[in-house]
Amino acid sequence: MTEGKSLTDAELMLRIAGYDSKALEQLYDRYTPLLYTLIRRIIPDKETAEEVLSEIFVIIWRQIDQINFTNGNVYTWMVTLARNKAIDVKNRTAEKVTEEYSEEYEKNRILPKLSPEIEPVELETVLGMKEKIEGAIKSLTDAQRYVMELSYYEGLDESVIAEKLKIPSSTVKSKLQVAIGNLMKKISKTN
Amino acid sequence: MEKKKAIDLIKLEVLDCLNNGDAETLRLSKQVDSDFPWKELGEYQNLAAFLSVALPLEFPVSELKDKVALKLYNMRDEIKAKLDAKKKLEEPPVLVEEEEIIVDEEITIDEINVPVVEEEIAPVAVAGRIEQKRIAEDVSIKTELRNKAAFDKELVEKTVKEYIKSHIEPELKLIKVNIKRNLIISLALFAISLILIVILFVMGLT
Repeated sequence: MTEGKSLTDAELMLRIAGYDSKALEQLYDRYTPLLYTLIRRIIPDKETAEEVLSEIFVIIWRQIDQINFTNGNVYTWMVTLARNKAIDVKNRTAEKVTEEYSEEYEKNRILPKLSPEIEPVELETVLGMKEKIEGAIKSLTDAQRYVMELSYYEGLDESVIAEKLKIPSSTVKSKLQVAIGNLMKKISKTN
Repeated sequence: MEKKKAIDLIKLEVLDCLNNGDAETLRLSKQVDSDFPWKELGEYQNLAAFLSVALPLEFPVSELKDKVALKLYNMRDEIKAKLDAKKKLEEPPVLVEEEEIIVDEEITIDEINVPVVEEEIAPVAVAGRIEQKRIAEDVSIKTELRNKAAFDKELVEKTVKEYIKSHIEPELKLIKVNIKRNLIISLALFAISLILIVILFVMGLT
C-alpha cells in the first residue's frame, strides 16, 4: 500500500496493464471520491451512481490492453470515461439511447479519445487547482454557467438546450464557446 | 478547415454538444488536416475534465469497494483467457521437427500459468471465504502442476512456498490442534462408553 502511494497515475496504469489488482485498488482509492462526485452530479440516484462507478473499474480491467496511455494523462482519461459512462446510463434510462451496449459500442462511445498531443495531468495537481477552477467557473455569467451545466452534466445536445431555454441553437453554441473560452483564459492566466 | 473554426468545434466537442453535422466536419478535419490543432484539443479536453473538481466531494459507501473487487474477481476467466492468448502470440514460431515436443510445452505453460494469473487477478479486498477457498484451490493446483513443469519449476515453487507460508501453515497448525482436541474427546467418550457398558453389565448380573 505504501509503495503504491508514491506511484504516479501513469505508473499505476502501467501496472494495471499487467493485471496488477493491487494497482487497480490504489487507483480506486485515489479516484473514487472525484469520480463518484461527478457521477452523482449526472445521476442523482445513489444506487445507480454506485453501479456506474463499479462499472468504470470493470471497463478499465477489461479494456486495459486496448487503452493507449503513452500520453500519460490518466486524470482526463478517467474523468472523461466516468462522464461518458454516466451520461450513457442516464440516456439509456430515459430511453434516449437504444443502440445495443456491446464491446464495440464501448470502444467507440464510452472510452475517451484523447488528443495525441495532450499534456499529462495528475489528479493531485488538479486538486491543488480547485480554488482557481471554482473561481474561474464563478466568473462566468449565470447564463453561460447554466448552458455549460446542461451540456456537460445533463448531456443535453444543443437543440434540446435551445428548446428548453427558448433561444436559437446558434446562441447556445456561442454561449458554450464563450464560456469555455473564458474558462481557458482564466485558468491559463492563473497558472 | 481554418484553425479558428476547428477550435470553435473543439470547444463544443469537449462539452459533448456537437450536432451531427459539426461532429462529422470535425472528424474529417482530424483525419485530413495536417495542421489540425491537436495541442488545443488536448488543452480543452483537460479543461473540461477540470470542471468536476469544483463540485462538493461525495463518497460512496465503503462496501462498494468489496462489490467492485468481487466483480473483478468474477472476471478472472476472461482475463486469464486474454493473458493466455497474449502469451501464445508472444511465443517464438514453432519448428516443424519439434512440433510434438513444443505442443507439450505449450500445454505445460498454460497449466502453469493458471494459478499465477489467478493470483494476479484476485482482488485484495474480496471477502474472506472466497479468498480462503481460492487459495486452497490454487495451492492444490500449483502443487500438482509443479511436478509436471520442469522448466518453470522455480517460479511455481516460489509461489507455492509463499502461499503455504502465508496462508496454509497457520491453517495446518489450527487443524493439528483440532485433531488433538477431537482425539482427546473421542478417547474420553470411549472411556465413558466402556464404563457405562461395565455398569450395565454389573447391573445385569445383580
